[in-house]
Amino acid sequence: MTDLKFTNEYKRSVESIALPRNYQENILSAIDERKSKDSQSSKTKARVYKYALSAAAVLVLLFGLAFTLFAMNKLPSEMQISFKVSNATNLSAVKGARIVFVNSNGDLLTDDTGEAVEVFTNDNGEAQATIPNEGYVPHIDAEGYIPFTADKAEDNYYISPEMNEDTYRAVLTWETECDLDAHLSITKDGKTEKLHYFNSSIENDKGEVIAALDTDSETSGYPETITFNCEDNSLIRFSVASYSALKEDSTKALSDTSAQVTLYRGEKLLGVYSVQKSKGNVWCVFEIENGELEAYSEYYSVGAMTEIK
Amino acid sequence: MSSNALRAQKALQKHGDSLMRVAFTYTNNMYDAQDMVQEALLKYIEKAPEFLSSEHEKAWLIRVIINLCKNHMTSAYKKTYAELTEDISVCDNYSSGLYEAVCSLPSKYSLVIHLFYYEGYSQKEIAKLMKITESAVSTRLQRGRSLLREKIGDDFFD
Repeated sequence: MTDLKFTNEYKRSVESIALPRNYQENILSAIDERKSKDSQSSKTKARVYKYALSAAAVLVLLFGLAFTLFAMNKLPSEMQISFKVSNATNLSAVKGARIVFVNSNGDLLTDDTGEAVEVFTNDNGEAQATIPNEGYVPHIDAEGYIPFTADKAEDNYYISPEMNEDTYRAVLTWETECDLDAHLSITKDGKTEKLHYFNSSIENDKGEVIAALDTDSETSGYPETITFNCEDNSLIRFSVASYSALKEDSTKALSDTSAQVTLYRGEKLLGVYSVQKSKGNVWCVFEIENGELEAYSEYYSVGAMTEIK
Repeated sequence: MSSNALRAQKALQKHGDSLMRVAFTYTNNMYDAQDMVQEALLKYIEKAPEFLSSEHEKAWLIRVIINLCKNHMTSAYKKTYAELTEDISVCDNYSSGLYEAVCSLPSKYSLVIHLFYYEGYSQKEIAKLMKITESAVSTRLQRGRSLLREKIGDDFFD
């Protein structure tokens, strides 16, 4: 790919655009100013720290005594949790899932004998447990499903059935009362097909379904799940759109929904993506180009769902 | 001035123009590009890395700029096809439209095109800079050129 003409034209074009005059002096001067502020701030902090340390020492003694008396009688050391585990593709209850509990360090919660504390879901996919109030979350294992570790205590967990190695699944969940939609576009040979609530499956040239919307939800509490395959030389883009924000003109902002997308491939978890504070009613979450995954994370606004890329 | 700061100043003199233009492919705005270069210099002063050569130093700085720009992009509202703002001094010359057209592409394409055609990096070197595979670089170059053709026609291509 030499393309000498393009190379020469592009170089000429780049150099025809002037860089800001004195940008180097501006940058160096901004750096000097920042370093000077940091240095003054450090001296002030050192002085404040010295005085604060003395006062803190006295307070700690008094507080420690009071806290010990209080903690012995008042703080809850355990908490009761209950939740339901469901299949992310059809919302059916997952019976017999084994749940253990892990903390942020990955340490398993054990009982006095050293055995892992475990519970199992009943026929309705429900389970309860009493666990220490120390930041433990459920880790869910069920036959035929991809293991799942929650990042916080919730009422519902949606887990993905195992798939073929080449199959992907994106599960969208969110927390606020609004209508979010999962969108998938597949571009191949210059042609783009889109999948969403209005067009819930895409087929390839052989008539095989290569992408499907498993579940559609108009409110939080239920996931939206898309299962898809990556064909060679294709570009796949997964986006989340706020249908509520589109209809009501941003009263239910996408970035306030705590939307999260969990991406699986085969029997593995590839990633968990969380919406950031940003403007726009569309969040492009990731792209997969020729099998290479990239968390694209771009935010923009559209006037109609058909404008989503 | 500390020795790190002096080194950073020299690096800016040597590589500043390149860094500004790389940042510009992401930000489409010279003021934001200047901020990115400033942050990259601060990291240079803070980390004080050792370099085998000037090219190694430049590649390190470009790598830092790419990471800073990505973080900057994910935290702010951006349209995919951002237009140049009035703040930019654009030469009133037909060929400047080519740079503008490249910068209006999604950053994943504009960056590989810029690094390949302007900075002269090989696909292998670009893959290292962007932490992607060589085949991904090749695909992005092809796709980027294809998008450019749709935008501006075939005039600039052999």
